Amino acid sequence: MNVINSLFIYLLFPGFLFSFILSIFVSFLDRKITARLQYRQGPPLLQPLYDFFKLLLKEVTVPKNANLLFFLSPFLSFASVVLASSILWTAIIFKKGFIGDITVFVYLLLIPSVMLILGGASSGNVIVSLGVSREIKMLLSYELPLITATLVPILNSGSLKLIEIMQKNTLSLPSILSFFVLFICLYAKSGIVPFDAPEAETEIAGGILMEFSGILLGLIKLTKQVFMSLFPAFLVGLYFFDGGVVSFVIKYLMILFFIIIFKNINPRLKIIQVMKFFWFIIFPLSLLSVILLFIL
Amino acid sequence: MGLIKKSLLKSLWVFHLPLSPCNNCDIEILDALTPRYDLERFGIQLVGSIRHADVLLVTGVPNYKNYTKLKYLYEQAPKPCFVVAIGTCACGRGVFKDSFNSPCDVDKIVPVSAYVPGCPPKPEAIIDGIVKLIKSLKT
Ligand code: SF4
Repeated sequence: MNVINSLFIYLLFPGFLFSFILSIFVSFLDRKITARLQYRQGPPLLQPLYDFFKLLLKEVTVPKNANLLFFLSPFLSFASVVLASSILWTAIIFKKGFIGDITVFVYLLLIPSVMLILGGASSGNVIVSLGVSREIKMLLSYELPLITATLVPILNSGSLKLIEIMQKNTLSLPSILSFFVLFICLYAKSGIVPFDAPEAETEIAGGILMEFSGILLGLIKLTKQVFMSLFPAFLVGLYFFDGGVVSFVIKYLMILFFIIIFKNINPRLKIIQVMKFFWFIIFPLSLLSVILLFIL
Repeated sequence: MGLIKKSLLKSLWVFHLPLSPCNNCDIEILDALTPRYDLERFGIQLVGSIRHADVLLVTGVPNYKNYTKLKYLYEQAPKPCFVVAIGTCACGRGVFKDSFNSPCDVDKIVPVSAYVPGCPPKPEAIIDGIVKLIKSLKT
C-alpha cells in the first residue's frame, strides 16, 4: 500500500506528470512574456511540448570519447529534479513530509548541476570543457550562500520539516535578507540570462549543452523547466505561505513574472563578475542575515 | 499526421552554416529572426550547436577549403535534418560558376530540400522558403 502510494506521488500527482504539465505552462509563460516585451507575437501555448516531442524523435549523436555517464546524466538529473518537485509539492498540497526533507530537497537540487558537469565533461569536446569549467565556478559561487540563507527559515521555525517551516514563517529583517539571497542563488542555479555563462549560445555555442542531442537534450531542457517551475513555489512556501490556494497562486505568479522581467532586462555576466558578485556581496549578506537572527 | 511529425514541423531549429558568403545573405537571415518578422511564432529558433539543429541554412559558394567541411557538418547533425540553400550563390553558384576555386554546387555535396534564390533574398522570401519546406514535408 505504502509503495503504491509513493509511486502514485512520484509518478502522477505532485511528481512527474504534474511537474511536467506545470513546467510546460511555465516555460510557455516565459517565452510568451519575453516575446510581448520585445513587441512580438510569441509562440503558441503548446510550443514547449512540440519542442520536447521533436527532441524525442531526433537521432542521438554520440561523441567519439563519450562513456556511459554521457547517457546517464540527463536521466539522473531529471529523476532527481522530479523527486525534489514531488517532495516540495507534497508538503505544499498534502501538508505532509518527513523530518529533514528540506535538507534532502536542497541536496537534490544540486544533482542536476553535478550531472551536467559529469556528462558534459565525458563528451571530451574542447568547447564543452569551457562550459564545464564555468558551471563548476557557478556551483562554487552560489552553493554556499544558498545553504547559509536556507538556515534562516530553519532556525526561525526550529524545525527541519518543510511543512512546519512553512507554517511558522515570520517576516522580519533577517528573513527578508535571506529571501533576497535565496532568490538570487536559486536564480543563478536555474541558469537563466544574467547567469547563463555556462551555456552561452552566442560565445561558446551552447557550451555545456553542445554535444547533447535528441532525447538527452530534451531531458536537460525539461530539467531546467521543471526547476524554473519549482523555484517560485519554494520561495513562496518558505516565506509567504498562509495555506490559501488563491493567495499561493497569486504570489507564485508574481514571483514568476518578476523572474521573467528580470531575465529580459539583463545582459549576460562574465564568469568572473558572477564569482565576485556572489563571494563579496551575496555571501556576506547571507552571513549577515544569520547573525542578525541571533542578535534581534 | 502523427503528433511526432507535427511537433517536428512546429519546432524547426535552424543552424546557420556560412560557406564563405559575401555576408549579405547572413544579414538577411538574421533579419528574418528579428522581432519584426518573429519566426518564433512558428517555433523557429536559431541554435548555436549543430547537434541541436533541424535545418541547416547554407549560404555562399562551396570552395576547395570548405566543401569537405560542409559534408562533415551535415554528417554531424542528428537526422532528420534538412538543408535549405539561401541565396543565388548556394542555389547555383551564380556568377562564381566558372570560378577557379569552386568545385561544385551545394546540392552535389549534401541533399538540399529547398532553394531560396535572390542576391540577397529578402526576409519574406526566406520565410516563404521555410513555409514551402514545411508544406513539402507534410505530404
Ligand atoms: S547570393 Fe548574393 S548576397 Fe548572398 S552570398 Fe551570394 S553574392 Fe552574397
